[in-house]
Amino acid sequence: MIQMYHVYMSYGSDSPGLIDVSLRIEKAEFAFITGPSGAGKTSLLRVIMLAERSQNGQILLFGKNVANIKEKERTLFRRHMGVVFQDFKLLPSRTVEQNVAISLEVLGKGRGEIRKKVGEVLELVGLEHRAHRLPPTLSGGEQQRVAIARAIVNDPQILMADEPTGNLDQALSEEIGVLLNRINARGSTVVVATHDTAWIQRTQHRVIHLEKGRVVSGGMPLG
Amino acid sequence: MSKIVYFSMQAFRHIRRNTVVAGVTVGTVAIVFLLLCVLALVGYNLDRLGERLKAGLYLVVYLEDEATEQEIQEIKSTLESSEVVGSIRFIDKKQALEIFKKRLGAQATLLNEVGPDTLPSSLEVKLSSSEHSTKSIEALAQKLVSHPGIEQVQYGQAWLGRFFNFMDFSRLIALLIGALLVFATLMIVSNTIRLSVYARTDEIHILKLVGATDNFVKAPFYIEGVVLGGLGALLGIGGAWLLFILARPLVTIPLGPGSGDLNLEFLPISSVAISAAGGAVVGMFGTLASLGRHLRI
Repeated sequence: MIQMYHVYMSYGSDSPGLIDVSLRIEKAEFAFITGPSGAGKTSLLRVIMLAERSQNGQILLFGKNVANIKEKERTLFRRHMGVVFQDFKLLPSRTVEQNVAISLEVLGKGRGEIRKKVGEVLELVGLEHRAHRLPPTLSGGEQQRVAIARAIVNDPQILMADEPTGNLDQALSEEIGVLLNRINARGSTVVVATHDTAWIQRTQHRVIHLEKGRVVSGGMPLG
Repeated sequence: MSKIVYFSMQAFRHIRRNTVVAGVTVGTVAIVFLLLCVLALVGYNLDRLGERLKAGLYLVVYLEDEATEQEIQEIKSTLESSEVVGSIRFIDKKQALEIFKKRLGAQATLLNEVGPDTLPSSLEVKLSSSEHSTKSIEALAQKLVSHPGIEQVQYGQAWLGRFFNFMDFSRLIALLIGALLVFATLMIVSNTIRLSVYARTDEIHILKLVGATDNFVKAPFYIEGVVLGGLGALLGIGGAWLLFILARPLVTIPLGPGSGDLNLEFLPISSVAISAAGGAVVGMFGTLASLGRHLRI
């Protein structure tokens, strides 16, 4: 599903993001990316979500080399990926259902289909009763669930989450962990960048460890 | 939901959330278009005045008392061979006095003691079309002036040439001012859209992340620019219309005996439509100038 070979990416000569990164994440796999601050976790996710261009190396998504594709094609690839951030990135002036609907609106889906799918996904994340609320009136855990709903409403093949529990307490973090497991069980590949060792230890998922922009362990699937 | 409806809804949502900025933009664009329309209105009515003056333009060839019948025939032939000339009317001394009396109206009694031979006989020459330039009329007059049997040639308002020169110069100045005003409008709309883009950086970021194309992100901003520019232009035109209504009774230009008066006229509907569309187009280009580098995620 995701393959990277000798990928280099930097934000300038003084700030290397990724150095010689090679890894493979299989279809429907759940993988953690971990490492200290500045290790390159977010950079790695941004390269996978095609928000950053690598300077060197090859990147294959869904079997296609995307290292040098045009911006428009990158946009189309992004439609097969869902992204969740630590700070939720919800639009405060739009209701929960409007926030979730954005992912379908960009695909040009009809109003009826959008309403149906948004309803289903809000039910999946347990927020159907909050559909008409504005994000600032929700708890942190609920806001993160809205962000997850937005990320999965278009049935992405890959769901990426960047520190999704970073702003949440232990109970809410576990809740998000359960939800991501459930999404993974539906067939989506889930890639989570996190510092949360407790969460990692609670699961049997693969851990890709980064340090100073390099993969130091877990780059290839076990076996 | 069709895309255009979706984009329009987004654009109006943007405008509703930034009513103050949008209002100031529309107001400023309206003032600029009001100035443009007033310029156009003055230019249009001066053009009409020029056309009316040209239409009333005629040559009068005053004949010498000693002019022979043969000389008069030769003058007529010269006139008839010119494409500038439409019709020629011979006015003898007696008719000339009658016409003069008529023009004097109630004061015609002043001429009671004047003999019938006082005024010279003449040829009144009407032009074939008002399209002729004053230069071609002047050239004909110059050709006639040395003709035997002619005392003097007058071609109506000789100042008309200067009037048209002044009009050409004014048109050039108006074009320059207009271009500056349009550029100002472009900058105003561009800055408003830039503010709008900054205010929605998060939204753009999210849209791009979920796979929105650049055009999908830009379309509502274009509609916003078109609406603000178009609305401003319409309000400016409306303001110009109000000024016109107020000014019309106060401005009447008399064109002299037999030519009536010239009343102010508003711009033709086609010019109004072009101005309104121009506002929308300027709004679109203003948006184009402000988008682009803000769309990276």
